[in-house]
Amino acid sequence: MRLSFRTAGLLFAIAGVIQAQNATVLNAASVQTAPPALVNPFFSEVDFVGVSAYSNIVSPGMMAILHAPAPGATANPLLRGRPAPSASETTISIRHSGSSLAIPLEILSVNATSITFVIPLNMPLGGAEIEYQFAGQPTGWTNVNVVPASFAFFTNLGGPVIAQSVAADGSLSPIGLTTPAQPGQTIRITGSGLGYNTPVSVTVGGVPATVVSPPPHRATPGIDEIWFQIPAGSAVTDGCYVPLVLSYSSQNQWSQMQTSSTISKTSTGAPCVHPFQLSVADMATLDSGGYIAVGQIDMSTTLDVATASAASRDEYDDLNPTEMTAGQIASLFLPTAPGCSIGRTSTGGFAYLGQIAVGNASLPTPPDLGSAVLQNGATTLNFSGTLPQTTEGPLSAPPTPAIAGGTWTWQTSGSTDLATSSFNFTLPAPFQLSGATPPSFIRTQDQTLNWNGAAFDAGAVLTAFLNGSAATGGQVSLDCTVPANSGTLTIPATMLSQLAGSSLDTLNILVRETGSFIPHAQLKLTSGATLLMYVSYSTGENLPVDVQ
Amino acid sequence: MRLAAILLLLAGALPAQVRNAAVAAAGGSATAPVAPGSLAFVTDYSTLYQEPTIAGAVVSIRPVGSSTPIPAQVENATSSGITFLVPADTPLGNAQLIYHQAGELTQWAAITIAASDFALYTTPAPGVNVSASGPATSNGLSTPVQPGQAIEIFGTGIGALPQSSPQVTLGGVMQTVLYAGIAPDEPGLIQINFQIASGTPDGCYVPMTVSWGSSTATSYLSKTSSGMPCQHPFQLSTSALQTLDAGGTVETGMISMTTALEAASAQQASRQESASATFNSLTAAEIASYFTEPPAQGCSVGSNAPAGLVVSIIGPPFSGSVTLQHASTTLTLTAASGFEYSLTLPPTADAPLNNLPAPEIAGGAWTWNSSGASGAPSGSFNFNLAAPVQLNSGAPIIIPTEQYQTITWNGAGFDSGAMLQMTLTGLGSGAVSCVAPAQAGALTIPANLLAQFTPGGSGVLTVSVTETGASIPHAFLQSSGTLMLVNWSSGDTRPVDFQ
Repeated sequence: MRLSFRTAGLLFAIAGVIQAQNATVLNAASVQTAPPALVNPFFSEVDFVGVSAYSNIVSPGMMAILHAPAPGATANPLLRGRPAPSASETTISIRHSGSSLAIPLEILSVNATSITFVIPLNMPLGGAEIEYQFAGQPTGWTNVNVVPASFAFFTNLGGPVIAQSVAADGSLSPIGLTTPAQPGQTIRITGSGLGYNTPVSVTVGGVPATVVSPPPHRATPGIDEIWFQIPAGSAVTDGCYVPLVLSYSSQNQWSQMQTSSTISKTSTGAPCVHPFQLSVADMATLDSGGYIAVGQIDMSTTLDVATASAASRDEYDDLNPTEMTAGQIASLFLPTAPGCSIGRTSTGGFAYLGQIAVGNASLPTPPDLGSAVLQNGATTLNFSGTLPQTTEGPLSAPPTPAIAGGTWTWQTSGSTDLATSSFNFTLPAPFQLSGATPPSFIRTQDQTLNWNGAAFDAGAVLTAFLNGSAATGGQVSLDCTVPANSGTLTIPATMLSQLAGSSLDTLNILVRETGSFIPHAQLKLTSGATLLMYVSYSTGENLPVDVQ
Repeated sequence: MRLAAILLLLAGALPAQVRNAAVAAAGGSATAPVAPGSLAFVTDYSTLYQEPTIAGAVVSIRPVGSSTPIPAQVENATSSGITFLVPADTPLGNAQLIYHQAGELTQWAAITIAASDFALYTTPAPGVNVSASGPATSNGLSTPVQPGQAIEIFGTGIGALPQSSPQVTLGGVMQTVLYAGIAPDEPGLIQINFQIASGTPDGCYVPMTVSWGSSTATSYLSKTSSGMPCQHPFQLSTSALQTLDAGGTVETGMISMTTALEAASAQQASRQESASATFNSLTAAEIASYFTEPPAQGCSVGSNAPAGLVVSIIGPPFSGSVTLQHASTTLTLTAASGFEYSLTLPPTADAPLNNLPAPEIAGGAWTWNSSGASGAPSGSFNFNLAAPVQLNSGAPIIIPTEQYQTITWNGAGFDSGAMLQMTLTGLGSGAVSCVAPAQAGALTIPANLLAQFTPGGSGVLTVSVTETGASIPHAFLQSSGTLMLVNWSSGDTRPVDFQ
């Protein structure tokens, strides 16, 4: 089965570029497709996308996208100033390592920089070479690893999973902010990369959901469908962005993998109550693929510590007027899982994470928010970007922050788009670690960090990044996420033991607000449209750590 | 947007780099261990609000596990960084370097204290010529040392001073050491004086090796039998040599010519070729680097990307065109990008490896002609290129991971200055780099280095041949005083199946 031309056009618009050697291959579902209001998630336009996926890792049956190097790269045979090639003048095949047989691949779409195709379901696991060619162009190729499963949801611009409710007659209705899922409903979600008959489980709001059908597991080439039932009753808390987690096993690659997103759910099916207090009309606009005008206020204050007697503060403020889609607003509500993980810093090879804007970037013109300032007591900040560095002082009396805790007021003198306006919000006191500096970690024991946790609310999330030398050579990176108001984090010895002993490493701590705790307000533009204002606030500390 | 902001916060300032001061003076930039008692240099990226001074700079070293930083003596402070003396009693191991310039915030960097990290100074001169009958002069291209003279060379990073005397060879000839020890009133600086031995070969860049205790350092000196300016391997004029010795630069035209073979399979190979030319100025140290930094032969784990010179050009954008001619082939490079003449040839269509189309950038005699180009000195010169490199393997190359693997190519076409660099990369499983003389026609990858690759996995093997030293095609255009260098490279890339 082949997708329509329009589908093909969309499929290459959903792609992000990740460059490896000759080209890069990634799961097509690691980027989103379309707003959830549309019954068929593929029949829509998208303006830009974000990518965060494993590159050059594919699984049997996966819909994958091959990207050539960035425009201007001389090694790119796809970009020679010629018109976009058609699928009929394009060939792509995969050859398993050790085999002389190149297996032709089903092409779903082609454009000047990418090919969307499907990995055969019976593709052997292990190394492989993908070869591709356009008419008259030399054959290009790249390496991939074929693993049992490497799944990603089709999502709405990196936000909620694209989902439909399934009626008794099999008809589909979109799930969105104004049309949430209801208890007992059967929901269809899609993604790619589950491999062959990989068992899955689903939780909604942390509550296990019954997976009612893999079949039709792969009705469309490369697309995995998962049907599950929203748990009955009130087991799942209502919300516009209820966490949705799909777990799957992937033998010999990872023992258990999880992919998370969000879904809108209410007990009655009525529109959800938006955590930013968006109206039903605004939510309907978002559901239909529209935009909401947004003023994003960036504020950060970070303590840089060289020694216990030499600490300084890096601070930053900025104002970004923009327009956001349902997916972009939803990305502010993606669940954060507490816990620690450890990974080795890539020192070469093909692994790469990145993002790029592609497609018909036709964002509406952002509103003019006029000349704006931030005020807190006697402090007035005028969005100059990086604030002058403080003079340094001892940690016992650290430099006073300009971006201090307390009540702040954002106000503007107005513009043609916005009348003179203001709103108030509250920030916590800046983060500060307790204990000796530099901390000394014993790598054979659990190590606990403590900080001024009482300063933070329930929405503040702390992530600690520990970067240093690995016990087996090279570099290693460890990260832990906990609620900031817990005031404490214990890094397990099992992870610390992977760091080299007697080494000097770097600890970066970052606290940011999430979900409805993000300071926000609604204003009205002179056009009558909603202006959502929110504050992207972060506070943290950077310091050396002795690992013994 | 939030993610970007977070990453920005985490990124912070550029990391500082700490290294042996002699290496730093020669332009080395990578962080490396430093030895107790040595002079070290820390690059300081902070924004200076005032002119740095020695008095205003403070440096200390805190060994990991210690709460007490050890103060380090500051020897120099400039807007590019601080030179300091690593305290002789600093324990070996990892440590925190803490430093600040007056008016700046305190910075820190992770460093490693090693027993020794011996290096010789080459900047501002690789040595001082000492004559019994005349004043001491800096060793330079126009002021070489001559037999019978003594020379003083300087270094740092020896660590604990060895009990034995150093052994010095110049051009492979053992020299007579007159003095070796700490330079008078110069803590951290090692001084070695030796007499130029008879039989020492002449040259602008005569290789010098100093072995002392367990440490070895290499450098070079300019030496002639008569004391007259050396015969430069790029045929630079005496006045150009004097300009370089005085700290000046020589205008240099860099002509890049690349021919690369890519084979998806044995039946699907194509060739990609390009040529470009640009002009800039090179210092004595930059020209010396063509002769004094030969790539280390052998294989190692990791991918070694060759570093390139950073070129900054000031002046009006180029216009017109230049040509490269070979037999009936004329490549016209146009001024398409401001300060560069360039030409990218269309890739050839797929062809079998055993029946490839002839390359445009072929082996044989070539002529450069720049008359009529605004950005290039007018003139022409002839040079020769080798035939492109081609691996003898098919595609894919089958590489067992449990035994050594020999890679072969058409080595007979290359001269002694051509070096081949091979990189073998496995998807998600590491990399191996090897360097060998291109004319050898073969190199063997040790089995222990191949063991990191996963059997059944796939990868990429790339070879690249470039000329080095005096074998780099070159000419010195006397009329304009311009040195013309041809940076030719030829490559071949194949898929690999690991077994």
